[in-house]
Amino acid sequence: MNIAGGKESVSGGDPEGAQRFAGEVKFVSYYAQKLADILGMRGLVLGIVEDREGQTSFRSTSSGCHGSVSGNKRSLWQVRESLMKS
Amino acid sequence: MSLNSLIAAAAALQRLEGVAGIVLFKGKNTVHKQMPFSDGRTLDLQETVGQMMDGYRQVRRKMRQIYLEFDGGTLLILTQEESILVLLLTGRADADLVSSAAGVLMNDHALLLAQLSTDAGSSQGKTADGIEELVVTSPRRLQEMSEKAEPVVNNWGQVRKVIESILGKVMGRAQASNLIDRTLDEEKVADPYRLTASQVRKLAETIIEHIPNTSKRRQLLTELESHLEELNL
Repeated sequence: MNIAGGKESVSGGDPEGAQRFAGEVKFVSYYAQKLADILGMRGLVLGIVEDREGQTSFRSTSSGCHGSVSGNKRSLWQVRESLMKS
Repeated sequence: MSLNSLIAAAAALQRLEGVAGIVLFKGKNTVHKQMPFSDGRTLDLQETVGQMMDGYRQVRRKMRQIYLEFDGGTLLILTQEESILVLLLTGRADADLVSSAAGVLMNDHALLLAQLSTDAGSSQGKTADGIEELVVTSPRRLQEMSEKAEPVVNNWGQVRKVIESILGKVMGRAQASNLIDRTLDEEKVADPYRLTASQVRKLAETIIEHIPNTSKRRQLLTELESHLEELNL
């Protein structure tokens, strides 16, 4: 799934998953920017959010965000690798 | 209620490679903090992470962990009820190993964490005469803890990388990754980080034994053997 230019234009996946993904990215990105400012860093490169239901993962690039919502729990390293390759 | 064991365990986490800082807190109550910047900045960090977690709590989401990789470092946030553990990682950290060890810490001290107050300063360890208690986490104590924890949290992250690089010689990366996951399912391994050293070794060999070509398989098993020795398995 992709979010283009930070706007709510979501492509790929089922509508419910896409909606959840967009909401998650927006929420995490908001707090991540605040945390980056506190840490003296520029911004978020990659995020993985894990709850009891599964994982939402995304990568931020200059052209937008891409990632996925998954019911499976993969290792952080594995999720990171697949996001960096895509 | 003594927090010594909890603080010692948190300090031991910081000794894992690539862990640059740690904060454990519940509401406004800071249990342990050791960050490579000022207390003010650490407090800002706690407040922001706290607000983020409150957001999830409001919609009744049971969060486990959040991994935020920034351009200059990574924040790994683990949560259990209202208690929050924040770890600042460098690029040298094995995030899966740190996550697993931090999860063990939170689970082992779940009862203690549940009893903690959320009020500021309530875990400062001050006695009636106002003198602050100093918890000494001596290298010996930390070494004992690491040894004790070893069978529980292994270096599966590194072993997996080794297996993937070995399998990469005979198949694509995605295929190698799928083969490892499939074997984990077949062997009914829910959490490979909880296996003992001998179980990790056996699992690694089982994965390589899926290679159908006999001579190739032997060659890869020999290669695996030398890598496992380097990893002290």
